[in-house]
Amino acid sequence: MTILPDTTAPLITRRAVIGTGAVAASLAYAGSSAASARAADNRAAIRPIDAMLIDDGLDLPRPLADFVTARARTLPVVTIRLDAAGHSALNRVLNESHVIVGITAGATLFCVERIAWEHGYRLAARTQRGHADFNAENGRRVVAAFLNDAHPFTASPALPAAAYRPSLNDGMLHAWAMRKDARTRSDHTESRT
Amino acid sequence: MKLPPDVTQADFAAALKAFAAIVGSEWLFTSDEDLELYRDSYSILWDETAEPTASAAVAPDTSEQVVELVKIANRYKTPIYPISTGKNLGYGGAAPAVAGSVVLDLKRMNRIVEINERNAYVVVEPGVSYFDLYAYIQDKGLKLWIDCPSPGWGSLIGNALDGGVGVTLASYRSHFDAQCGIEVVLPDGRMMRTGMGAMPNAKTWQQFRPGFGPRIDGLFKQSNFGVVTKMGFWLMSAPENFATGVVTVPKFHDLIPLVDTIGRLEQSKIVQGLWTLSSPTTGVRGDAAHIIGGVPPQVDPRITAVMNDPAGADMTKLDIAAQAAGVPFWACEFNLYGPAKLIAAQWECICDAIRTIPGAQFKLNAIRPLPLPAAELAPLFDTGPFGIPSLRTFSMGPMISYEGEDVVGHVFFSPVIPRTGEAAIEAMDVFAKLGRKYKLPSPPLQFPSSIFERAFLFAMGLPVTRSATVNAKVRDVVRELIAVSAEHGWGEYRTAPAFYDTVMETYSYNDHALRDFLETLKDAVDPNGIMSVGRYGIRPRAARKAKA
Repeated sequence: MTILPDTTAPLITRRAVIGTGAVAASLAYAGSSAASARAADNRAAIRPIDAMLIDDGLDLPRPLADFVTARARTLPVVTIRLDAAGHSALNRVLNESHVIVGITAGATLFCVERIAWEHGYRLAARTQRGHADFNAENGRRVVAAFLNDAHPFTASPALPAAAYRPSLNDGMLHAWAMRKDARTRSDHTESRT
Repeated sequence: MKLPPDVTQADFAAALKAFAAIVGSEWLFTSDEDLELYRDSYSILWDETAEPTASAAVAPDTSEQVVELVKIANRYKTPIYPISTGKNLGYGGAAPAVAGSVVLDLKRMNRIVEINERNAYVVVEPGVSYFDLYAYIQDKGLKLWIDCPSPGWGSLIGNALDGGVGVTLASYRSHFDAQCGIEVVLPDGRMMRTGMGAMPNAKTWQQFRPGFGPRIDGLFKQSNFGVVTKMGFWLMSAPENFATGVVTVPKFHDLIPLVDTIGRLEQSKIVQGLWTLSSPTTGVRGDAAHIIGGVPPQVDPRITAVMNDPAGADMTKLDIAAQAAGVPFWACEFNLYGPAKLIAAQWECICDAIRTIPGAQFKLNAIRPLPLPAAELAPLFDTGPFGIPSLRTFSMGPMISYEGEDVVGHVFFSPVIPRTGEAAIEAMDVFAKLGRKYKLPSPPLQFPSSIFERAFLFAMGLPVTRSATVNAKVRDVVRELIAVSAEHGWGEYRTAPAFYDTVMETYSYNDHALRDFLETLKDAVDPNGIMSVGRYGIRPRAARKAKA
């Protein structure tokens, strides 16, 4: 398998994660140990996916919900709420992580992307599908594709602000990956009361 | 690489090298990927040649670094454009007003410098967001409230300097009016403090706004006379209780005595919380508007017929239909704060005053101890009235299309109109006609907001798309709205960068005496014209010549 950067790779797959400078331990979650070892050989700086963020405002289709439940056995899954408590939880995840993936509405992705920017993250890959695409007939196949790196989505890392529509109710689910580079927002605690 | 206007490649390269030496190369952003994030996501000029995008961005960590960066900008005559967190979507975001400016990104300067519970104030740096301050207050268990806009991810300083507003008590809602003391790096790199802060070791910087001599704080609001690096704000002592009270009056023209009566209650400080005007004819009545998933009241078919008239909802017909259906025309919801006996007394005064309007009805909802349990806050769409920031406004989303194009955001048209029922009725009529003329995605009835203390705000969000053709049409619509407003004597309080000059043009009393004065100041304090060129239509001499 290739482990070179692949901007056409789908999302929440080991190929997309590796291709965006992310990490090998993710392969332990998503793929074989042999692949993991090869990836580790080829990219010393590879890091695991640290958390999966799920939009609290979304009613996930059953196959996707099952997928998230399965991933939660090996990966922290964090619910995103667009309120103060949710913002604090998101900041903790962003502080403690380097690579995150998520399944959200466009509006939530818009918010998360900008908050994550202040923590030094960049949107590395993204894809989207309509709710109807996760129906009972093809849902299992689509979820398997997320896991197995075989679905036909096209990632679009370039011009993320232009590439998606920040609207909750447009029926689109966005799956995405973000990675942190070295620059993060300061964590100043020198206030006095 | 994009160059700032009138700066050579060699000078720009030298300026960037010098910037990096101050902040570290990791905090100098020049790649396309990084600069993409300094675009205004809601730009009405998206991808057009006129879209003002940055040539670079630099992110200092301290006021002292800001001083050095400003000196470098002067040395190489490189325009800089300070932003706090760049979240004022609809009013410019993180983008500069003039293309090629270097964005001075202050988000790393996120220290809560001082917070004083006893005297209820805070001093913050520009990178402190409403979320940050709220979390800090909660973490420390302080009995203080903030007043936050919706959404609440913006900077206290950035929002105040842009003229932003919140939704709690009147004296805290206008965020610039709630400030007390500014530290600013002037365009020549000299640091200054306003008010009592001009005295070294002042003990009352955040307690006495006037200071000694002219009060110049206002020069730093919606302007380009310096980089504000610290600002004090008065905070609200956490109230004991909260309640909403809903008043309805039956007839369309009852709005006139209703606004007058509430005005007197506000002038005497009996009504201090935000009150919200709505019409039960739209199917939304008072507090129902704040509950996600709440069952809207049934709308009578006689009312629906008038509302759906393609020629626009005729208020006389709607008035008749509403009365026939037994639906009051106006509802007014009051937010009440304080000790229970104060809320009860306020409500009694409100009822006594408005009862003079025949047919007025009153309902005081339960007086609730604060803070509300998390389970009760969770379903609320807007937690701003409880001093709690959120981003739920984004969950509304731009769910519409305009002219066949997906809507990705909005630009605000924000005229200030007189606080009278007559003016409200006139504005509703004027803007509804323009809305129909251009098929704007606005509701048949739109109401003025009482968010300002003595005037109404009539804000309208106009659609932004990714189509240059449609955006050009929207720009024309905004310009027409601005012109029509000016004919009525209604001026905008704030606008997106694409309309800075158009709006400033309407403030033309005595042959633009105000703008001339501001630009005289600009030339005096910023002779090299490096600071936020074009912001709110204020230009340095060289840029005025270029524009002419």
